[in-house]
Amino acid sequence: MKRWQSKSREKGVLYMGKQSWHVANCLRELRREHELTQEKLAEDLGVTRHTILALEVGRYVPSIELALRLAAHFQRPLETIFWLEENQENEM
Amino acid sequence: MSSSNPNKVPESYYVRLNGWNNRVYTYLLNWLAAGLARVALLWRGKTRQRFEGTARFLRNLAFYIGRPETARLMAEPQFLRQAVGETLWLASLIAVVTVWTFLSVYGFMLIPLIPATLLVAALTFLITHLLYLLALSGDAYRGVQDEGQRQVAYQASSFALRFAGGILIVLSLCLAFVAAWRTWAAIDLSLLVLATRVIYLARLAHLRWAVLAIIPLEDEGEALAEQK
Repeated sequence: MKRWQSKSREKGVLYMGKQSWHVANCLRELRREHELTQEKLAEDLGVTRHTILALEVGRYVPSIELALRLAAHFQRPLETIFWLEENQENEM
Repeated sequence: MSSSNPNKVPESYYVRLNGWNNRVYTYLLNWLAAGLARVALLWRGKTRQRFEGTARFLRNLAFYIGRPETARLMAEPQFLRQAVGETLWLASLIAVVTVWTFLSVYGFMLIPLIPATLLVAALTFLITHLLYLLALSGDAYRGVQDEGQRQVAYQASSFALRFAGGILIVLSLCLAFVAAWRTWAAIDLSLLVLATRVIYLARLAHLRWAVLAIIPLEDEGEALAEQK
């Protein structure tokens, strides 16, 4: 019990019943599409580069505010940037 | 490079000093990463992945601190003041606690001063480098924190609190049942406070910098930014 709780905190894994989910995103691809560096994107959003790094590798799930700011920045609907993905059994 | 552009402002002494210092670190980290990458070849499975991850982390760290922006950031007057102030404060605290511990245990003997000095030096080195890393990631010497930083700070605090709580329980049991330990109670508590501070900084640095082990930073369009 305790093990997966800490896992969910650190890697952004959500547990609903017996299924586990994680929030996936295409932030890295979007950033490259817009020819932005992590540094520049972080500066535009008023966060640190490490937060952008953690978001891109899926180590951190952003707040609604930051997610909406990202969507506004890239002028894309929120659900095209962030979505839920079911984890495979062997990943648990 | 700088001679080709007459309008370019020459870098200050501290920026050049930091640049030189960072280049030394970059060289050492790259050398260490190459060694670990070779060691990884001797293993298979998860152990190999761990070695490769650590090597990638070291290469990324070398890349990160080797950039000219890092040297400029470290030379900012406000940053320098705070870094020097905190280093002096922590080093004196470590020195007082260590010398106090050694003198209480061994009395006024010259020989314990050597390990005491080495311990002070090692701890000061560790703490100043942790602070250096945290300053680079924007977690130290910055007034405003973003949500990612806040979340990581909460995690590191709870980790340090759990550590301190566990040790306090053990310590209180020892003090209750072993009368001889009561003489050292003040030293034990001072060491616990210091250890909790180091554990907090180490956990914070680990949580903030561990993401560097996942993807190579060289691919992240830094060259593109420099061209622009």
